[in-house]
Amino acid sequence: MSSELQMIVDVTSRIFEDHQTEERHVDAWDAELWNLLETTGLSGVASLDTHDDGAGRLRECAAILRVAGRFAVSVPLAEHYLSTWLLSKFGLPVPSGPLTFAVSSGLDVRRSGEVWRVSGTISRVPWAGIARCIVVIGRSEEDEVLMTIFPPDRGVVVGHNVAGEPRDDVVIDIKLGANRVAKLKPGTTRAIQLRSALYKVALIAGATERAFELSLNYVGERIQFGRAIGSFQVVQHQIAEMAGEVLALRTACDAAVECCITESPLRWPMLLAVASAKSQAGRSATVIARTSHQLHGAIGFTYEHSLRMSTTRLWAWRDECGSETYWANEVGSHLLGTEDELWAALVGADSGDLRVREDICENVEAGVQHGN
Amino acid sequence: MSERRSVATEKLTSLLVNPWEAQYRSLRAEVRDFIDAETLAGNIVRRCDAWLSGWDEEFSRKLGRRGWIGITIPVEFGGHGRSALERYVVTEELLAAGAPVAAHWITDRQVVPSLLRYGTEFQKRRFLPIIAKGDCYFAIGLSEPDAGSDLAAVQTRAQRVHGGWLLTGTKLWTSGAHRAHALTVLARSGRRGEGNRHAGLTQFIVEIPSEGLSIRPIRLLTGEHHFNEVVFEDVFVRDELVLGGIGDGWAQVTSELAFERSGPERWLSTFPLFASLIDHLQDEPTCNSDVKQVTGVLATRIWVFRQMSMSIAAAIERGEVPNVPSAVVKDAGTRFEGELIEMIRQLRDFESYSDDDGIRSLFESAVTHSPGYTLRGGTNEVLRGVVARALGVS
Repeated sequence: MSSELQMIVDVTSRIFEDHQTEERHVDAWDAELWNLLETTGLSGVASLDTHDDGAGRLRECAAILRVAGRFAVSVPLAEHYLSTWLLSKFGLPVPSGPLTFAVSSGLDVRRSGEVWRVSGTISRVPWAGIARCIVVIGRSEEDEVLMTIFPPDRGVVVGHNVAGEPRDDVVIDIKLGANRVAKLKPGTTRAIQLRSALYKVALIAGATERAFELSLNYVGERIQFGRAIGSFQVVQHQIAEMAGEVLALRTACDAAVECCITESPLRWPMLLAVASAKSQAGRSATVIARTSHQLHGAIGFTYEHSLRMSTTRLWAWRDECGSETYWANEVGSHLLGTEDELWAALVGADSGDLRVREDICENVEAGVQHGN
Repeated sequence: MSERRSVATEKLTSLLVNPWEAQYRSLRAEVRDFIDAETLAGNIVRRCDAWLSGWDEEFSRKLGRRGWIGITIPVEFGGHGRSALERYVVTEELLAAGAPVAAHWITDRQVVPSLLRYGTEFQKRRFLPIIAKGDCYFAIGLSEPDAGSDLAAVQTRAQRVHGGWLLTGTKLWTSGAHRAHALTVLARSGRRGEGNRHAGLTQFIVEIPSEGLSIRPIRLLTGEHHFNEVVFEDVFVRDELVLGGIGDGWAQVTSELAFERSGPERWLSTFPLFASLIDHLQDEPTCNSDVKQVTGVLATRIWVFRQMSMSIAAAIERGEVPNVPSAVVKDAGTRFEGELIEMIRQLRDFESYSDDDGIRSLFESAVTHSPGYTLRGGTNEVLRGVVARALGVS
């Protein structure tokens, strides 16, 4: 990690640490923390208004999200990063946050002249109820389109994931002027899907690290049979297995981020990288949640104990943005469909090649202007 | 949460990811061309666990001529003065192809770094040039009848005599000793220290044949001959073949572990089975979802292991000693080698296929070699102990 990135991580950690004291676990929307993120500028990292490194400051975003996952914060930071990145990428005004984001195949999107008619329900949109704007990717008969949906335009049916984070159903039945809709070239949705999966990987990596550290501390403190339970070999082996999962996920996360910085989202190496990282995140989440609870015994199974802040998120997040099953199928389909020999497909001879990024910005057909 | 603990954990369970592959694209392409040509000529027949069982001296000499053995040996000692990352690229390609690399494998992986680090000028000049040519193979004498996982319990004795040492004892599970030209031996040259069982151990180089040295086969459960029992009855080792410092044996042996434990051979031993299956499935018109699922799971796991191995290789190249990540890769990677076999077994009803495509043979050799994956080079249980201790859990 570069020293600049390390500094961002340190600052972010300190902000979250100071904000979240032991006796204060916030489960609901943490407006106070959001204000803090806005005043410190941390919420604006993915907005390209001031600085674009060509990759949407992916390294910084992933590093901050890993810290956010570690501290189990109750704000839609990943969704906000994704939304602001998209809007600024397309040269659209970025409303004040928090923003959220959804890809929907179920929406009915039709164009008639200068007006778009959009109706239907998008299920399980993160934080839809509190978001100032929902950036929605949908499909009309011909095109992938990006739309911005503001509170007056939508109804919300409140829902939650197992960690208690809002996952709301959003009901839409509106007409949008052409200035609120941008047509995207095919493949853009894939690029966005990969980035959102990668953000989830970073969050999960942070949460596994926290659950692991809680477990490490606990097995050193908890005395049974007259000695710390960490002195039992069977416990040591569980700790070692957890360490392996933490390391594998952390490495996969960092490597996938690097791959996304050099690779085009429409090329196979990036799909393989993100699919592998998200699959690893799913596996690590499962092992870490299970083992950390086993090591903590009954106390970790309570509402009062902070372990649940990490483990409930691990259970929820491993299925969001594509489970292991989903990504394995994507990768399997490619490998079985290609002519390439397996090893050559996994390790391209040009692997890591720095090539011209296919900028998704160039995929936008119609720009949009709107005020709100 | 104690801040200090968090920092220590972070250090032990994270690796700096800094992609370096692109630098060696042309080397990778060169190795692939060579492998293609050798496969076409029938000199490479894809096999599992080829780094243990694929002994082909002619093939090793070919690699030596191309400069792909002892890559890191300086030019003045007959090597090529290239980086460990280049060695990584070459070995990974050979393993994935299931090429017969067993003859020089252990020598290239462990003996070369040992000689470079601890060898005398005499030893380097004597061994390194012929190793780099692919003409000299070493075996490694560590385990004994009463010293397996507990390596510090070695009882082979080194007794000081005029001009050298006399070795007496027995080494066990010594791979390839019956075809090797020399072996390194960890022996007790002095007393254990007070409360320090690692003191008093020294490494020696014993040339084969030597007077008083006898080598007997111990067959694998398949009947194959790789392991040996090596018996030393007053074998004389002259002073110039003491490897490293007297009493430094333990530190020397353990310092190379990161290198030995983190390489691609810890997760690629059964890859040739997977590769052959995919070759075969690509020709089939339809694939059910189970096939896609298993293919995807295996491929994504391989991708992750690769990223870890490459990051560790880069850390070693920077002069770091990433022992915890290395132990983690070996523990998880070798378990994966077995899991791969089982997942493919669930997928394919081997009894209802002929072996025209050779996949069943690959499967059978992968299964029958599987006990070795999680035992060799330190059992996985020992590795987990290493990880836990490093994290302060003991």
